[in-house]
Amino acid sequence: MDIIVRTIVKGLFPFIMLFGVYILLHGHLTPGGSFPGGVIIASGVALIAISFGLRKAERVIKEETAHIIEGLVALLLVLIVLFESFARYVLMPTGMVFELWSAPQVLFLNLAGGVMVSMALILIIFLLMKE
Amino acid sequence: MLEIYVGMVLVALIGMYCIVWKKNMIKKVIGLGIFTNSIHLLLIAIGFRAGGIPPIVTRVNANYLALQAVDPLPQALVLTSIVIQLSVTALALGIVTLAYRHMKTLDTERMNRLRG
Amino acid sequence: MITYVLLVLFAATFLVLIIKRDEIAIAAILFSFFSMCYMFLNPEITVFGFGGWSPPFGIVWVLDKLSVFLALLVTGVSSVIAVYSLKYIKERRHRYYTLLSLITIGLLGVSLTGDIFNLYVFFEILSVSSYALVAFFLDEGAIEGAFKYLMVGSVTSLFILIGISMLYGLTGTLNFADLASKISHSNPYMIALGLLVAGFSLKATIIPFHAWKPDAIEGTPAPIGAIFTSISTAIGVYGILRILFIFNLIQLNWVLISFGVITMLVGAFLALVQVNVKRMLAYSGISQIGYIIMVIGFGTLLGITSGLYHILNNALIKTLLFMGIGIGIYLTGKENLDEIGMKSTPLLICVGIGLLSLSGIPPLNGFVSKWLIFMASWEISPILTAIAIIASAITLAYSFKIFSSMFLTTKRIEVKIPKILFIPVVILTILCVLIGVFPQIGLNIIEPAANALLNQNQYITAVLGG
Repeated sequence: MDIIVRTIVKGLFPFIMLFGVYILLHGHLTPGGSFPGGVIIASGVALIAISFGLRKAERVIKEETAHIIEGLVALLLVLIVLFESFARYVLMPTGMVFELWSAPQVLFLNLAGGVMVSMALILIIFLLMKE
Repeated sequence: MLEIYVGMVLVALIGMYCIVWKKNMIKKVIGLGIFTNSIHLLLIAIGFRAGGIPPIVTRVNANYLALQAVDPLPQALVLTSIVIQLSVTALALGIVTLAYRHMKTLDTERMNRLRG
Repeated sequence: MITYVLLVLFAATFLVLIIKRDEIAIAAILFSFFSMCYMFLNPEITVFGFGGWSPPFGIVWVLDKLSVFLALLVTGVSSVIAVYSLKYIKERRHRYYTLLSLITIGLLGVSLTGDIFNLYVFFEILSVSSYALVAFFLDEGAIEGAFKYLMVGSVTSLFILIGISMLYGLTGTLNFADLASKISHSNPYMIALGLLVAGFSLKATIIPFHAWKPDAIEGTPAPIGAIFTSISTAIGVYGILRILFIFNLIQLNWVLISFGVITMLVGAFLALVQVNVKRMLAYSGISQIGYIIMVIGFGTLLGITSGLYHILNNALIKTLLFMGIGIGIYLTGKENLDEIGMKSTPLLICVGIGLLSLSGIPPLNGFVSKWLIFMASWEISPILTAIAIIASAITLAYSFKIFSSMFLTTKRIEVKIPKILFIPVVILTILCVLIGVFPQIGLNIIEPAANALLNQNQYITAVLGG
């Protein structure tokens, strides 16, 4: 891709990641949550893969790392569902509106789901681009 | 409200036309996406209330939200359905890549190895 | 309890990919089978609300007798196939077992759920992992079958979504019991019913919607062909049954009867002219589903009982036949009828029993359900009994064709069958003979299921009133 696209992507990439993490973390207060946040994070990496090529995208995150993170977070999801009563009464209070550190079920599941969605989409993009 | 339903039927027909008539595999996958999006339009239009506000709790309207907001349940159904559409499209594009690697063509008229 | 079953299956799906051991998936599927057996022993309807939310507001899973019967059937066949595939699939086995666990999650979710959108979500999990498994052997036939199935299957699942959205717009609820108490029989509801039945008919391979099946089964491995023909179609028929149950329309219905008759005859006639043995068994499966749909259209208690019994028998027989044929394909490497001759007496006995049971010869289990179907159709019209007997005669014809080209030709080869491939075949043969000689074993499971299907008030009181 030519130099205009490369310059703009290089400048915008950290803001895209920050925006994705913002939508992910505020899933219980504003529209968004795990799925849109994960997609925005993955689309940041996809922009790098399209404009700079696959090797530069590998320097952001490697393919084996994405596999491992995805599997571990899936097991973490299972653990969260099993121990949700612990999270609810010990770690944080529930039912407090407008606070960021509240609603433990939604917050933890959003985090885990967002990481899983972004890793899965990054893997799909890498595998489809490896002709 | 009637215009939304008529619009949904038109978009669904355009999507069906792409799936049935076009011979390129990628165009068929695009048609599937168009058809799915028309059904999402139908789902959101069902939960519409005339003069409603978005179903988000803010400091201003925390008391009477249920009386004024549009229905949030179809919006949750559409979110789930978008995730399902994403996975079907990803799988379809994977099969298209595989087909190009093996048969060097994306034309469905030329794929007739299975007979009977 | 149900949460643990789902979590174990879900964890096994990802563990098989990280730690590369396949026995985790087999253990998880067997664990789900035994927990379904444990749930079967409970005599009342179990209602389980996820997250503690009570029925009309939250998602519920309702385990009445029909759901537990199908969950038992699904997990039992899936565990047998999982053991059989240890030897059959030679390469990329970890991805195969991941997809097999996903299919089991989807099938279990569809049969146990009590909420209509949850039904759609698990139906899509089942469909998407089916599309991936059809394309498992990455050759040209598999790719073509997978793309055809994907296109047709996605469009038809979207018909189910249109039906669900119409029902939500008309009634305002998504729970089965709540919908059953609010549905009337006016025109908008009938359109939603038509869309929903059309959506489930694709999985159940009724005649206008059967065209994906022979190409898909020709491309997949034989154990996945067994899953498609035995339990995927059973879940399609269960979907139609549940939708008719919600609408309170389990009565005499000539549309279903005529579709069933056409499916029976077309499936049987097309199975006669095939050369590939997996395609022949696929068309045979379509023909057996024709019997089931015709008998469901009667709406009597005898009709529903014989239909459910035939679902059970069709699952057992087709799994047995696909596994037996699969041994032939594994050992000779070819799939056409005139190239898989083998000289092996134990396999001859097992596949022979399977083919005799398919045609309905006493004292095997196919005879029990076919006799019940003939009795149920005699009450409605003797012409239907005559058509059913003609279709059974054609079934006998192509069963003999399979048997003679596998074991009675002159160019048979000496083979030694591996034990892991043969033990599931023996287990299913013993089950077929047992259910045939003691049909009360099957009736004990199926009579409560048929009674639960005709009794809508009991379901509504158990979910909403409790």
